[in-house]
Amino acid sequence: MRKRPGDRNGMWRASRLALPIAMLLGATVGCAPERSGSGLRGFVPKGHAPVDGVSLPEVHPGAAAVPFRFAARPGGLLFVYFGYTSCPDVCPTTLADLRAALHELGADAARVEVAFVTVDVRRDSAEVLAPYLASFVPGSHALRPRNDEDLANAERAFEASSQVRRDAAGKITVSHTSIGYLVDERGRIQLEWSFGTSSKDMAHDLRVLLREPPASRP
Amino acid sequence: MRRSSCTVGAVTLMAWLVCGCGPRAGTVRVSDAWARATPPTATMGAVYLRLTSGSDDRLLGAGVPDTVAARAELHEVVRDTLGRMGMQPVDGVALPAGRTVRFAPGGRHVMLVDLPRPLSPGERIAVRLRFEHATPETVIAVVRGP
Repeated sequence: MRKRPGDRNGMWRASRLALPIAMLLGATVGCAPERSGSGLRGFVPKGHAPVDGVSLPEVHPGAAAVPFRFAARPGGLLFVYFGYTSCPDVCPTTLADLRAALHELGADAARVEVAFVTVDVRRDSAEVLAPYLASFVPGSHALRPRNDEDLANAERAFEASSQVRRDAAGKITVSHTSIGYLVDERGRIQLEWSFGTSSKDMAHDLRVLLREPPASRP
Repeated sequence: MRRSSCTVGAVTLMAWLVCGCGPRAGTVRVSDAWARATPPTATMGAVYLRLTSGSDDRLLGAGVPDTVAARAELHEVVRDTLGRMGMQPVDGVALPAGRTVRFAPGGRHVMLVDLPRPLSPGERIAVRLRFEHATPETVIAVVRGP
């Protein structure tokens, strides 16, 4: 569109569009999910009750189970995930991405603990669960509920759920909430990562949360 | 006028060259086949890959050697109404002509059922793919992992 000298009409038309366009852009930007003031890529849950009142048995092959409480060590973070070892895709993908994220953190990775709760208690014995997790993150807490009620209580605390179904032919199908939770030393869920969160985004969020002492966060 | 006809000619030539690289009708090009290394006690694995068929076709199933798994099945990840993720077998996967169909984490995979031993990084797995029209193809999936 060629400018004609003295074309005040053209300029007036452009400026009339500018305000609605600016408003539309502003609304679009404003409508983008506000993750957190710190620019976290995961989802910051609000108004969630602390989960440190819940504990599950941490299993070690050949040794007695020890109760594990859902809270990080002071100054650290605890990653919690509900899954099962016969999961060919979702669980290994999440754990592999977490492993890559921890690798990116370097020395700070020591401040992050990992707890994996099996939702497939019948098939995931201590002998199966502990080595499975150790292959992704050595020192992970392998949590195996004693029964369905224990599992349901823990899931309820995280607002997670799962279902294990066995058909007439004995084929087992499992579905589970596939969110990764980051819990602080006071048992508060600071962040949630939906399935598919990249290892880069995980590393980014971990750095942000570790930099700012979790205890000081609201 | 002369300039614009040359441009049209150049673009057509380039388009022809690009289109000429697609898979021929009746064949399926399979690429980027890989599997994740599995933990020592895992019983299931997954192969991911990309398929482009030269003509409308359908992937019917897959097979792997007994030394790799008892059987291979086509699966896809699904979400239920509560947002829980699970997977279900799929009865074939459509391969529309010229489109690249991806099997990727969180989506479709060739599930390896009942692994006799873990899949090790660097291992090469022969995956035999069966199609409705194209002749079966065997592709090598490379196992990735630290």
